[in-house]
Amino acid sequence: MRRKLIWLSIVVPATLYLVFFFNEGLKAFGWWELSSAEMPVDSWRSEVAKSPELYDQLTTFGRWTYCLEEVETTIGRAIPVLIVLALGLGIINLFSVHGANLIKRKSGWGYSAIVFLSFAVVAGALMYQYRAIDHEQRQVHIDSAAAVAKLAKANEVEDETKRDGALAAITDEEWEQIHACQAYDDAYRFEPWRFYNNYINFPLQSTVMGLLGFYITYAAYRAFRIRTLEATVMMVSAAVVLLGNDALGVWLTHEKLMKVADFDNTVLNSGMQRGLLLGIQVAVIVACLRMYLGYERGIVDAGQERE
Amino acid sequence: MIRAWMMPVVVWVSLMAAPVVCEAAGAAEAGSAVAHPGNRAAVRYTVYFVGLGLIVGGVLFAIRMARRGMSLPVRDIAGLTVFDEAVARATEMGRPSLFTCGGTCEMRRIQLFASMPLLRHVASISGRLGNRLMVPVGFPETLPVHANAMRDGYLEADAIEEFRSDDVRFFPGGQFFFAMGAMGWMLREKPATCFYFGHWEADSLLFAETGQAIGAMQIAGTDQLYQIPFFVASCDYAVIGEEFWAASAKVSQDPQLLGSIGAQDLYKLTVLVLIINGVCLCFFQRFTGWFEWIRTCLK
Repeated sequence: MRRKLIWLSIVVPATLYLVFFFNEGLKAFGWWELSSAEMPVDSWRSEVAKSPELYDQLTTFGRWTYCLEEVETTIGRAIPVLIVLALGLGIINLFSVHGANLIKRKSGWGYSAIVFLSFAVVAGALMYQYRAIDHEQRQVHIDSAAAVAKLAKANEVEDETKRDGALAAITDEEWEQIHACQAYDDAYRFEPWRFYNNYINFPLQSTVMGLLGFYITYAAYRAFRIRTLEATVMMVSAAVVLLGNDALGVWLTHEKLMKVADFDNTVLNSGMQRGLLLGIQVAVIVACLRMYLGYERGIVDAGQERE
Repeated sequence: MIRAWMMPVVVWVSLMAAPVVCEAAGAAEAGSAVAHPGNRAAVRYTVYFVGLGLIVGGVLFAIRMARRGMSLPVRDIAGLTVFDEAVARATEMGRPSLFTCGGTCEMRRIQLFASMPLLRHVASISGRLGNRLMVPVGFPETLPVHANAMRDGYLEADAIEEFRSDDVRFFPGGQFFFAMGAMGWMLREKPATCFYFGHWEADSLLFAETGQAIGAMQIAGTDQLYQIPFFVASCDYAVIGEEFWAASAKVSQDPQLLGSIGAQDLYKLTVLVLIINGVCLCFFQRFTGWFEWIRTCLK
């Protein structure tokens, strides 16, 4: 049963994607067209959604395409619901596991206390942000939405005289609303989420990313030691590319090295990369096919020994 | 009666016919009453359909042939033949092994599913040799997938008692926070062998250099072009590009899977012939203009 469920969870979405793929292809041949009217390719679906009469004019293939894309949209809408359900389950699980640890004073119960503390701090900060800032911000934006839209529309007018006329039509009250909205957006206020991102998250990520600079130097040092033929080729290639893109190297060799470096990058390197990509793309299709047909071990047959 | 040697001939003839079919589709579209912007798309999709049909047909044919005991030979991949040796080394040193798919290998990455048979294989060897296997995970939804594959590996080796669910450890927060947590774990536990298979991005070198620093034997595999040089420079064995996708078939030694790899190689050989053919045809086109003649006939 478990095996069948896992296999179905792979096969059903894969089949849907295949159908969508073939459908896109058939659409390209123009088979979706209306039987008695023409319609732009991009907006036909929204046009049909607005008018039931247009649906009646669709060809059989057009109706099939329309229904299929509706199914896709419906599935897309179901995904956030599943995510929210999973999140709820996760929170319940977190509380039950760590709550039991705390109550029974199991070893490491201090970490469970930290989990509850962190949860409370984050939830409190986000609730504060939602009530005190996001709510207020939404209200300011709602109040000034009409005036801001009017200003944007006036600015879109190409003819200068007409544009001035459109701008002059904006009343003082509307200008006040626009300025109030801009002033609100520009003013600094403590927002927990933005504070976490700008002053904790990004600096930490940048620090780890910065480590890469040192690591690349170490790795390059090891790779460029001339011990084998491959390392020698790598070293020569790296030297040519580095010097060919460096002002001193270009000046010393009268741009000849630059041309060699360009040849290395655009012909030799690109050829190798395209060769690899070709192999990878074919291999991905074959691997997906193996999974789809259930030949791949370790995925479809997971847990069968326990049945 | 279908013969194995007919396969490349059929593929070659079909691919040679593809440009003519595309031209026909394009000409029919251009001549239709409704001028359609999908004219070029029709040509593109014709190529997609023909190519996909050929590759799927080729793989199914190869699997069928393999079932009858006629599979194509697949060469050995150095990085995949040393799995036993690598885990045995860790066992002898009394240190654990580590297997990770990277900080960006989330559920929607197909590389995750390609790596799970390898994790199962490594877990099976670890179970057989009595070695501890550490598996850092970066996404909560992939944790049960990893745990399942690992448990199945230990089950395969009849060593389920060796399986410790705590060794599949979740490090939250995204790519670099996962890397920080997992690197710290590596520095504390000092695994003697590290396997890096999956979808890798900027964290590849962070892991590989940490592994170097603790003196671990490292085997890595990815299909990400920009990470391959890092693995080549820092790891003992690198399984690159398509080899990564053939890895699960190679470690399982299942003739049907190996047959599909053979078909894949045959397809690439055909594409290679086609590229050379295309270069020659373009060369002759400059002198004879034969393609223009076909186009005129079709119109």
